[in-house]
Amino acid sequence: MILEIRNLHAGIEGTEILKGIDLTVKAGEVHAIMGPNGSGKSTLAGVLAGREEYEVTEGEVLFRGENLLEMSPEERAAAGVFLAFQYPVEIPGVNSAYFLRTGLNSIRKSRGEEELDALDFLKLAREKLKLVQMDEAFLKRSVNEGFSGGEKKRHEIFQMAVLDPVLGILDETDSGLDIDALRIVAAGVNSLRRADNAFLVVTHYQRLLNHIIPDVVHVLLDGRIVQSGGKELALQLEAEGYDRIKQAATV
Amino acid sequence: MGTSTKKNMSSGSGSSSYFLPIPEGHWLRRYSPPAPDPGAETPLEKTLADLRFRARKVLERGLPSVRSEAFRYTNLQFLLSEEFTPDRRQVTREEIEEELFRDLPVKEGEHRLVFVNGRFLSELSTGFVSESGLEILRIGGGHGTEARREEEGSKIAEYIGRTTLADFSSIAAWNTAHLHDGVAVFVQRGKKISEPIRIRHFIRGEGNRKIVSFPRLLVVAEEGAEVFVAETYAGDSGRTLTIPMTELIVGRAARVEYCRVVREGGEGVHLSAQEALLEEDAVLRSHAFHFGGALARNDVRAVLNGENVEVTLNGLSLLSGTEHLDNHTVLEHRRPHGRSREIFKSVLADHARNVFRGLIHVWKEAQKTDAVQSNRNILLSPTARVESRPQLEIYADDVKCTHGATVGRLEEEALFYCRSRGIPLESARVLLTQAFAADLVEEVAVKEYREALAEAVRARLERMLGREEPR
Ligand SMILES: Nc1ncnc2c1ncn2[C@@H]1O[C@H](COP(=O)(O)OP(=O)(O)OP(=O)(O)O)[C@@H](O)[C@H]1O
Ligand SMILES: [Mg+2]
Repeated sequence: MILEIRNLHAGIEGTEILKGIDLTVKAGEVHAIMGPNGSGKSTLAGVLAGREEYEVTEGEVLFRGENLLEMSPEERAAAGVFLAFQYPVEIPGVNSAYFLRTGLNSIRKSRGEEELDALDFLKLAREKLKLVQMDEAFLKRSVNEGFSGGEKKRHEIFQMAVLDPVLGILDETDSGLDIDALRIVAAGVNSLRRADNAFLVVTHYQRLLNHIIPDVVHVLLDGRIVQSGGKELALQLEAEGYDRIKQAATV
Repeated sequence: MGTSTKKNMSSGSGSSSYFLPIPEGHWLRRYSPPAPDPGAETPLEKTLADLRFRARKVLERGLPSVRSEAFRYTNLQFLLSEEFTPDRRQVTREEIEEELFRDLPVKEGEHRLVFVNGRFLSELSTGFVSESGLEILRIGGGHGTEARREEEGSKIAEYIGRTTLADFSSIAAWNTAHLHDGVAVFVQRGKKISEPIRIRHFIRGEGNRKIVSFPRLLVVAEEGAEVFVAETYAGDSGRTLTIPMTELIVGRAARVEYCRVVREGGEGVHLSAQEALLEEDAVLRSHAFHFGGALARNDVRAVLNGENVEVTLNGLSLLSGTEHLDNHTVLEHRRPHGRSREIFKSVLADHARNVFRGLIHVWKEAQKTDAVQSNRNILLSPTARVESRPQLEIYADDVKCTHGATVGRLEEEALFYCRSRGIPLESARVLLTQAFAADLVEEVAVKEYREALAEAVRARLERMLGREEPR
């Protein structure tokens, strides 16, 4: 079992945003999370990655059997959690290669593995850049600075490929991508799928799920998962919108 | 830092309270040579005597108090109660060699002049130079033949004190009142000196004695000349006071890059004056790095005295503990088409305090001036303080002047981004503050110095951040 979320309540400054989430993700699976704006998708992703502004008021989260909520963000990264940000952060003055190598080596160190020198890292990075069809020049640029919207998203997937997580959480990685980029990103994610890892894909659009085929689709509404189903649920939502589910949820 | 309690200020009437009297016989007024004009004969002796005379007049006015606008945030009253004396000892190479090259490593081919507490140390220096094209001379006394000395002296006499113009700033006056030694660099017309010239000051107390020194540097780049000069001040233990003055005279279409690195000891006080005078088409690139010292005040001025002059004035300071730094900068645009870029940044931990005052003064005839000033500060602790005072005085009507100041903390979102990639909180903080400082380091033209500075910044930030309480 990779992820077990039980009755998770979380919020900010006294306002509850997540109102009792239950979710179980097994190794080898891809779960999609859909839901209207403001329903709490990014909050869930953030709580899992360790955003400190959210307060968990109830429930528990186990990551491979361990209490995830007790870990710092960097410990979660070292344990194998990766969040692809909805809004990747620009860091002027830090080049992408140095940034990612520092992260990778911190993770390797905490696992008792040997650190990669600049040359070995470059080899690895080059290989992973190909996955998302990004130019090597990006490695020398400041992290996300001046990247186009689509480049930022591809850069997230590139970082995920280098860090090779056990659980990859993608928060709207598809928004802002053109059709070709969408395909590239999806292919990148698919190539990372293995029997021993899993992905949580937050999206508004069914089209991403044509490429990254989910095992389970969940609908998040007002901080609760109100419906779960197979990949056809996404198609149904695309056709009908959330109205029917909203009505069903309020009665 | 010592604060004096006994004041002999007569219940201050009028402007006198802006200055605290410096009694006769006080160390600041104990001069060597004592008389301003001890039978001056050569042109240099005459010039120095005249400069000293004028400067000593300024000292008679007294010590500026915190009531004077220029020293509002920096209290120098302790100078009246604490006794500082010049170092009379000759330090040997062995005593300091290890310490000496910590901040900037030796670069092959550099010209290097080493001073300890203001005294020249020839053993570690590459020596003075008098070739055609480049001359590195000693202000306090030449070498070689009498005739040669006279010739060199005349040259120094022609330029020294020139940047002072009509008025001495207080610090410039204190240095000049005690002026008897220093370095003068002359780059001849059209000469481009590729190897950097490096003046290395080592400062340290002598047991219980508090040591003062008055280093002086004069750089003259004649028309079309180019040169890179670096000055470093490395302090050690003990209470010390350094009062340096640097004059940069940049001739027509000449280009001077000047880099100064100050890392005073924990009890070190640094009061400096840096004056630049630029003629038509000249370029000055000035970089100041401040890595510590109990108290520091830098008076920096650049006068754009010809058309189409370009000035870069950069400053980076990393402060912790109860360190106090006050940068007082003036950009004086006197002629049309001048461009100035001023960026001062600081990172403050603990109870540190940073004062920045930046005056951009545009004269009436300095049309088409293009001046940009920015002062950015990062507070790593809630008890650190920043005073930022931009000041524009613009008398021309067709100019572009912008200024901006920010005071903030490290961005939470960027910290979280780093951590989500596995970078531990403390390293993430170092990484982000280092990134904040990076562009100013990048601007230094000499690769070896740039790399050493980047390393010095990283090491200092690690120490500053390592002490902080983890959240
Ligand atoms: N840091 C915060 N401060 C205040 N309110 C917040 C914060 N984070 C989330 N919220 C609120 O919680 C709710 C859920 O936000 P969240 O970002 O999780 O939604 P989402 O499902 O990701 O929406 P979208 O599809 O628009 O990305 C919103 O009402 C939002 O305003
Ligand atoms: Mg969202």
